[in-house]
Amino acid sequence: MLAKLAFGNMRKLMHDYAVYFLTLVMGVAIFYAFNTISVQADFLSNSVSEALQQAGRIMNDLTVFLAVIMGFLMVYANNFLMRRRKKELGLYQVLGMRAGQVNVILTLETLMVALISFVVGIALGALISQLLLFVTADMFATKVDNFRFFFSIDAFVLTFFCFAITFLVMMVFNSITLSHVRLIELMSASRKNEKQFVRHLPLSLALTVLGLILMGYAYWRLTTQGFPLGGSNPEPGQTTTNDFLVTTALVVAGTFIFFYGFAGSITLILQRMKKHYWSGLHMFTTRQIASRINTAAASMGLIALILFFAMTAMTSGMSICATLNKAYEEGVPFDASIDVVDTSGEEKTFDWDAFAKKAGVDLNSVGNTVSFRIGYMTDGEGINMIQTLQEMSAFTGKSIPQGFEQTVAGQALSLSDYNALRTFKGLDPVSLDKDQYLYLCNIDQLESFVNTALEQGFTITAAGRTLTPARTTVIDDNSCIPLNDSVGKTPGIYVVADDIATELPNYHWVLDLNYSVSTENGDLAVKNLQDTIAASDDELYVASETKTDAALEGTTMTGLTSYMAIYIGFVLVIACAAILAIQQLSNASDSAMGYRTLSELGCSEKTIFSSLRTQVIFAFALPLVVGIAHSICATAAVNKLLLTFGHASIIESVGLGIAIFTLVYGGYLALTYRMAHGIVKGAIRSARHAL
Amino acid sequence: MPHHLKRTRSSFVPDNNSPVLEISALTKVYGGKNAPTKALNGVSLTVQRGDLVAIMGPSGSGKSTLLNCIATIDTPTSGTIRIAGTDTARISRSGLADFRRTQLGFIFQDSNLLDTLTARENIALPLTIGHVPVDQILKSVEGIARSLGVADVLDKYPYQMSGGQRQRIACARALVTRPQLVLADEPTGSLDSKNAKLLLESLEAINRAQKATVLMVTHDETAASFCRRVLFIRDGKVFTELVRGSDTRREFFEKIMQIVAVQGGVDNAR
Repeated sequence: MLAKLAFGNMRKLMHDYAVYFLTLVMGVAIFYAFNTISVQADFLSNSVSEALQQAGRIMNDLTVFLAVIMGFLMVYANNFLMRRRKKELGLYQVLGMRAGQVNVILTLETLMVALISFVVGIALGALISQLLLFVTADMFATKVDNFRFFFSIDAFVLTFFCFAITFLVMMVFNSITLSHVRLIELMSASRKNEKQFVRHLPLSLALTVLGLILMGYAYWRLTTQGFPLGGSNPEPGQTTTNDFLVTTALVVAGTFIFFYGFAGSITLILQRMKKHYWSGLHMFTTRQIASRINTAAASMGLIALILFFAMTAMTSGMSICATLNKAYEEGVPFDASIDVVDTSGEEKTFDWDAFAKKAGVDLNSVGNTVSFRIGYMTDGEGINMIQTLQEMSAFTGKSIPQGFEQTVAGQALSLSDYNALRTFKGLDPVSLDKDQYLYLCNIDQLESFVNTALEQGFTITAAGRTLTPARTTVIDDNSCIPLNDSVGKTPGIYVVADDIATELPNYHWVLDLNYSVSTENGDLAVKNLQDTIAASDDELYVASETKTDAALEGTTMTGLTSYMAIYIGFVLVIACAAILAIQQLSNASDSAMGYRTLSELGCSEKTIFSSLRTQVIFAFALPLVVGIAHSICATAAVNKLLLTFGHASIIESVGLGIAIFTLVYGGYLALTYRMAHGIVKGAIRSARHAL
Repeated sequence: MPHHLKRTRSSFVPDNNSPVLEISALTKVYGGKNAPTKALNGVSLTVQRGDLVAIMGPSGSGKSTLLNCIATIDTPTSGTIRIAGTDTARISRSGLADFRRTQLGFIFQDSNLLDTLTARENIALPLTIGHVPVDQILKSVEGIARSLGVADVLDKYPYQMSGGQRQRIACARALVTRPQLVLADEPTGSLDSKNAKLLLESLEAINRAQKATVLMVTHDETAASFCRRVLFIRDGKVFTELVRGSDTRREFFEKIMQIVAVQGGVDNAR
C-alpha cells in the first residue's frame, strides 16, 4: 500500500518536476561519461594515452569536488520540493498514518527516484561516453584505433558512490523536515496568503549600493593587485594570500548584499517611473520578480557565485591553453635543440662533433646546425648573475614592470656566436665595438623599461671592463630565441665582444638543428646524441626539445584543459540552471491562482504570458549577469598574468565556453518557460468551481 | 512595446436602454451523450440597472454554472445572455478579456487578491490592465477605498490584513472600473457575521450611491436579505422569486427563511 502510494507520488512528481529528473539523469550521465577518460585512453595512441591516464586521476578528484556541489544543490532542490508537499504529507497523517509510515513513503519515493535516474543516467552516460571518445580523440589531436563499445567499472563505481551519498543526505533531510513540522502547519500551508518578505525600501537601496561598492572595490583590488603569486612567503610588494582572501570575501559579501537589496531597489526605482509602473501588468511583473528575489536572495547569490566560478574556470583554463600554445609556436623555432649544462663548471669548450661521432650520428647529413655557448654576466667578483633589471631600475629611477620583479636577465652571448645564430635564422649579422653591448629582449611589457635605460646610457661591468649600450633600443626580432624552450620569451640576453665572452662563466652549450632528413630520423638522431652525452659524463646535464615533443605537449595540455573546463562548466551550469528552473516552476504553480484572477479581471492571455516570460528570463538572467561581471573581472586579471607569456586571442576559447553556456542555460530557460506556461495556462482555462 | 498593450479602453459600447442583464432559455449540459447532466435547464431572468439581486439554491442547483456563464468564463449549451445589450456569445475569444475588464466586476468567496501586490495595487489592477492614465487610476482607487472604509490599509499586503479587509479590497477591485454588472460568488462565505454585515452594508451603500448593479450567488439568508430581489434556483431552473419591496430587512429575511425551509422540506420528503 505504502509502496503503491510512493509509486503514484513519484509518477506525479516526475511529471510536475521533469526538470528535476532531467537534471539528476544528466548529472549521472555526465559524471559517468567524463570519468571514463582512463578507459578511453586504451583506444588512443600511446603518447596521449599516458597523459589521459594521468588525467583520469585528476578527473576523479574533480568529480568528488563537483559531486559535493551538485549534491548540495540537489539536496536543496529536494528540500524545496518537500516544502511544497507539506499539505499532502499532513493529509496522510490526518487520515491516520503514523509519521513513521509517511517517512517510509518518502524513503521509497526517494529510492525509486534515485534508482530510475541512476539507471537511465548510466545508460545515457554509456552512450555519451562512446561519442565522447571521438571528441576526446579530436581534442588531443589523435585518432581512435579499433573502436568497440566500452564500459568503465571505475567510472560506474565512482558515480554510484557520489549519488548514493547525495541521496542518503536527501533522505535524512526528508525525515528531519517531516519530524519538525506540526500537523496544523502542514494542513494550513496552502490556505494562508503568502507572507511577503518586504524589506524597507530605502534600506534596500542602501544595501544595493553597498553591495555594488563592495563588488567594485573587490574588482579594483583584483585588477590592481593580481593573484597571490608569492604563495605563503611573498616578496615585499607582492600580493599576499591574505590580500587575496580579503578580495574574495569582499566579492562574496558584495554579491549577497546586492541580492538582498536588489528587489527593493528595482521596486523603488520602477515605482518612481509612475507612467510605466501603473500601466498594464508592469506593476504585477515588478512585484512578482521582487518577491521572488527577496525570498530566494541567498540562493540567487550562491548561484551567481557558482556561475562565476564555472565561467572563470572555463575561460581561464582555455585562455591559459591558448596563450601557452602560442608560446609553443613562437618558442620552438628549430626542429630540435640540445642543451648541455656542465654542472662542475670546469669545462671551457664542448665538442659536439666528437659526441656525434661517438653516437654514430653525422650531424651534417641530419641537417643544418648551429652551436654556441651561453654564459652569464658577472662583474668578476662573485659568481652571481648580474641583477640587470634591478640595476636598470636604480639607474633610471623607473620601477620594474609588475610581475618581473624577480626576473633574471643576465645571460650573455659572444658576438660571433650571436652572428652565427642570426645567419642560421636568415638574419643579417650585426657589428659591435669592443666596449659595447647589445641587449636582446622580446617581452612587450619590459621593452620600454629597458629602452629608457639604454637611452640614458646604462653601463655594465664585465670581465673588468665597463660596457656601454651600442643601441638605444633592444633587439626584439626572432634572434631573441636562441633555442627551443617552449615559452618563447626572453627577458634579456647581452651580446658582448668575443674576448669578454670567453672570460664569463659557463651557463650552457646549445646545439640547434633544422632537419634535412625526415622528422622521425631527425628526432632519432637527436635522441641518440642526447643519450650518448648523458652517458659519457656524470657532470653533464643534457636536455632536448624537439618540435614533435612541443606539439604533443601543446595538444595534450589544450586537450586536458578543454576537457576539464567543459566538464566543470557542464556540471555546474546544469546544477544552477536546475535550481532556478525548480524555483520558477514552483513559483508559477504557487501563483497559478493569481494568474487566473488576472484573466478573470480581463487581462489578455498574451499580456499574462509576456509577464510570465519576463519573470522567468529575469530570474535566469540576473544571477548570470552578476556572474558574468565577476567573471570578466577575474578573466581580465588572469589575462594580465598571461601577458607575461605574450598575447593570445582568447576570443575562440571563450567562444566555446559561451556556446556551452548558451546551450545548457538557454535550454533550461526555454524548458522552464514552456512548463511554467503550461501550468499557468492550465490554471487560467480550468473552471474555478467544480459543480 | 507590442501593439496590443497600446490599446486603451474598450470597444464595447453599452446600450443604456437595455436591461443590464437579460437571460433567456439558458441551458448547460455537461458530460457526454451517454450520461448528460443538465446543470441549467432553461433559465430566464432579467436584471435592471441599479438592482441588487441574490441567487439562492442548494448545492448542485446550477447557480455557480449560471454565474460562470454570465461571467463569460463558461459557455452555455443553448439560450442567450445579453449584458447591456451585447450578446456574449457573439464576442470573439480575444474580445472576451476586454469585455470582462470593462463591463463586469468580480467578487469571489476567497478574495483572490494577489499576494505580491499591496491593497492599492490590487485595486488598481483592472485599471492598469486597461491602460487608464495613472493620475486617474490613483484617484479612483482612493475614492472607492474610502467609500468601502479601507483607505487606511491601502499600502498593506494581503497577509497583513484581516479577512474582512481583504474581502472589501476585493470589492473595491470589482467596483473601481464602474462595471455594468458586478458578479459576486458567495462574497460573505469566508467571513464571520460581523465582517459579513460590514461588507454587505458597504455593498448596499455603493449600490444605492453609484447605481452599481450587483448579482450575488449565496447560501446565506442574511446576505440575501440585503438584496432587493432573491431568485431561487433548483434543478437548473428558476424555482421562485422574492421581491423585497417596502419590507424591512428583518421581514424580508423571514420570507427568505420560509422559502428555504420549504425547499429543505421538499428535499427531506424525497
